[in-house]
Amino acid sequence: MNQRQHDMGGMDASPVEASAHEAEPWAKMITSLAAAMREYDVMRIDELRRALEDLPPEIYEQDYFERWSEAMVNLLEEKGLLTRDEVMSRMDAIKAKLGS
Amino acid sequence: MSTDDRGTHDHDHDHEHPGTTPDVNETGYYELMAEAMKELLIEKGVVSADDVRRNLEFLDSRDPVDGGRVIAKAWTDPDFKKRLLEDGTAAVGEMGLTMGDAELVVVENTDDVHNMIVCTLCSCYPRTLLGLPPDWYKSKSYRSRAVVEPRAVLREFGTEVPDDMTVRVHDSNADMRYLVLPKQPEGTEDWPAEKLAEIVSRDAMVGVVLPEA
Repeated sequence: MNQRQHDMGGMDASPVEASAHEAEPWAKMITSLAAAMREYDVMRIDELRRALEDLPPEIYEQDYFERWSEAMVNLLEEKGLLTRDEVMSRMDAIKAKLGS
Repeated sequence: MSTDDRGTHDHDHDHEHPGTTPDVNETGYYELMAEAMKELLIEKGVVSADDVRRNLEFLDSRDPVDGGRVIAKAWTDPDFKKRLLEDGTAAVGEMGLTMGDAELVVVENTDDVHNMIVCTLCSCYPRTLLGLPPDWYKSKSYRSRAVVEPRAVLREFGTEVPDDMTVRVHDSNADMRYLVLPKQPEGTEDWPAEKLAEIVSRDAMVGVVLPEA
């Protein structure tokens, strides 16, 4: 069966760990950013899901909101709204501003 | 080459971006990425800072308490329960609750059937009623195994479903979200809705545990 990475039904996996971990502030922020774009129909939820499904396996296996971030950058670049280079240099600028 | 035109960071040259490769602390890296995306999208007028803040406030205001109110109303108001099972989206709308872009399908636990919900493909979840999904709901363990060995998964949550009961697993998607209507615990028949709402946990509405009085 040709089962893609996101299509997890029936894959082998370990027991469920019921942790009660609250989403971090940046994770909530990115969720809100996505929701705001949905309001303007700039980025739809099914488009984001497709972008998530298309991530390379090593990225897809990362933390949930990490892969969301990667998928959003790819999708927004594809839509011509921003480029990964812009995001990378803005990250540098923010980091410099924070003095870290 | 990038279309960066902010002027503060000349980008017409190839260079390394120290600190932006994933060799730094990963949380820090993605925190920066999220902030960078937000700043750029606001500057480009794709969204406003207010849009982001308003959505964040809505997100923070979502809580399983709302789902609990829906269940308690269904337990105490048979007509509402009928409407909830027929058209979940419209019924929760009566209570001032929204499903966003998605449809709500409410599935009822009975003496013969236990329901549980999963999203094997992603993490679709009735978040406007329950808040953000817990980590385990998004984990590979839950997504992969809920559909092939639901009883084993339920056991990991401490829930034993008798062999003569059917376990029905509902696979959510972007357009359709499920909510489990658990059975009202015995001995709570004369409780007011407000008190009943308090015993309906998030996990009971996902169908991995049963509510207890």
